[in-house]
Amino acid sequence: MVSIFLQILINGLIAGAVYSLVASGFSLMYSVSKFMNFAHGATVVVTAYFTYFFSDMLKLNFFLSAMIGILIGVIIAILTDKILYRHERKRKASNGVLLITSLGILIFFTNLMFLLFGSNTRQFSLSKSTIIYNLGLFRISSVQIIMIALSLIILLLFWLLIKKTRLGKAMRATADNKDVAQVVGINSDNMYLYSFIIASITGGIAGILIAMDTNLFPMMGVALIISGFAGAVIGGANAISGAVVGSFFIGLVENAVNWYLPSGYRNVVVFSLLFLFLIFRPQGLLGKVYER
Amino acid sequence: MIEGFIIHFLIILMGVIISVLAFNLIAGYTGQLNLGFAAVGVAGAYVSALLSVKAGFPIYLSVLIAAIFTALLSVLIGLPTNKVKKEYFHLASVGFIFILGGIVKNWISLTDGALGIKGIPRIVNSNLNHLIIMVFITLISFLIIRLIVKSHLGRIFQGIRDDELAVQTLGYDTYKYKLLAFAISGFFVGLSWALWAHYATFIDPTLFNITEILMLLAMIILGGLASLYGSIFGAAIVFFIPQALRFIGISSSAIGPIREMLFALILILVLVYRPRGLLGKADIQ
Repeated sequence: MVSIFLQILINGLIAGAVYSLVASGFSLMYSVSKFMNFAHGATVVVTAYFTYFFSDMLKLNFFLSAMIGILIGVIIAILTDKILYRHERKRKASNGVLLITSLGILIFFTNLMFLLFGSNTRQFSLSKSTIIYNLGLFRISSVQIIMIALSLIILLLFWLLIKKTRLGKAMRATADNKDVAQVVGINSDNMYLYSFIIASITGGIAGILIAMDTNLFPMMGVALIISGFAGAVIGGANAISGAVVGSFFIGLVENAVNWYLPSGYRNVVVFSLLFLFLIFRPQGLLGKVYER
Repeated sequence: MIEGFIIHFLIILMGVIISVLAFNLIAGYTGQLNLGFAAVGVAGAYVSALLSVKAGFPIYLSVLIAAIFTALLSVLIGLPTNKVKKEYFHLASVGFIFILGGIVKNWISLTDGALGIKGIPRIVNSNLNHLIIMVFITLISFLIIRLIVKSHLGRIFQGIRDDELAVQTLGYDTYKYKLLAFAISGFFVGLSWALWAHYATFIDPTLFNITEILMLLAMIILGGLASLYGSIFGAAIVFFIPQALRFIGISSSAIGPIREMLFALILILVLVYRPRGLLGKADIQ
């Protein structure tokens, strides 16, 4: 009994760590640019698939492949911002317009991966050589140890970047009030772009990590941002700490649900929780009260 | 042979038009972008199918109950609209695709899960007669929705979209009116999908997917928000473009993804280059 709880706890923490990578990037983009960028899921799936393409189909070194994959994800994020979002922002389009555009981008790239790589799930050859350590009370695989360690390191770097650097300060200033930030010489268009680039790097890494732990499938981007976005909103999307706390919460809930209910109920529980939070505690676990 | 195809496509198109008109009522006229809208409709198809297959209800009664059920379900989705930012509402409404799909797929004792429901009774056996019924119901739905948007009620809906605070100042409880718009649009989308179930005779949980709402979005955005004629044009154009894929020799396994990519492209291009579509009178909120 104790070991079941411990196993759920460990699996939940691992999932939560990866979700926080998605959610913190999402929260950064959302607080700076003020719209829900579903195209983040496109970056996730494209990065994972292209990493697979270079490492398993072209047999390149895995780390080099991951770098190229992340670079491709970042380029897609830059292009969508420069070609599409910037165009829409210029005519002061509402957040709803940008959101629907981003939903279109997500569906476009999900199906492009489907066409290029097929609907079957694929697996990194690297993860076939995973070692599973049995530590008596719970089990953990070598990939999962890498996942949790790497996630924590990246979250720390992310936090340092936002809190301690000039760029981080400029992005936070744009998030607080972009007009005032403009007055002191911070170009908000550039800040949007930087927030997209940073989020794409963390999101892309999350995509590769999840794919290493399980496998690749075209809908993986959709699946990962569902958990990541829900985590961010439940935690309180206007604070990155909230996004991280919410992600761990979602990770734990999902793994508990997986244990006690048929696995298909996972998203039902996640979104029902999100819905209840929006009705009864719209500011999230850590967020500030929303003022109109 | 070709008449058969045309009748089949027209039957589906009529159902799609009812959905798009109702979607325009909530998203275009009232400004509430309910992204769980299509999933609510599919839930209606399930309710009607279950009532007629498992409980032996007469078809018209099960369709009616399904539409009332989806009206209530739609109100449920609308509940947080007065409390949260629009973006949070969008995410929560997308969530309903997964909530409803997950429940239907996993409540196997009721819905037979992934196997779907087979042998749903048809309204009439002849496709031509079914088309006539669909044209009739589509026309009535169009007239009712047109009556609503031209009425005082319709002006309140559009007022909520353009300046909710101003409408409140005039003494209207905008939250109740928003929920009413959710109910009316939910009724019609449930009606449309329930009728479809009684034509297709088979439904399964894969219908709960993002593509359905993406298609409706492409249709109202291409046709133009807050324009009923625009919705009809948009529905027809977006519906027929992917049908052409069948005739230019694309392998059947690639049709699905290419169709979705086309919907996405239409949506993105219209939003970027012609944000009000063909006949639009309002912008997405």
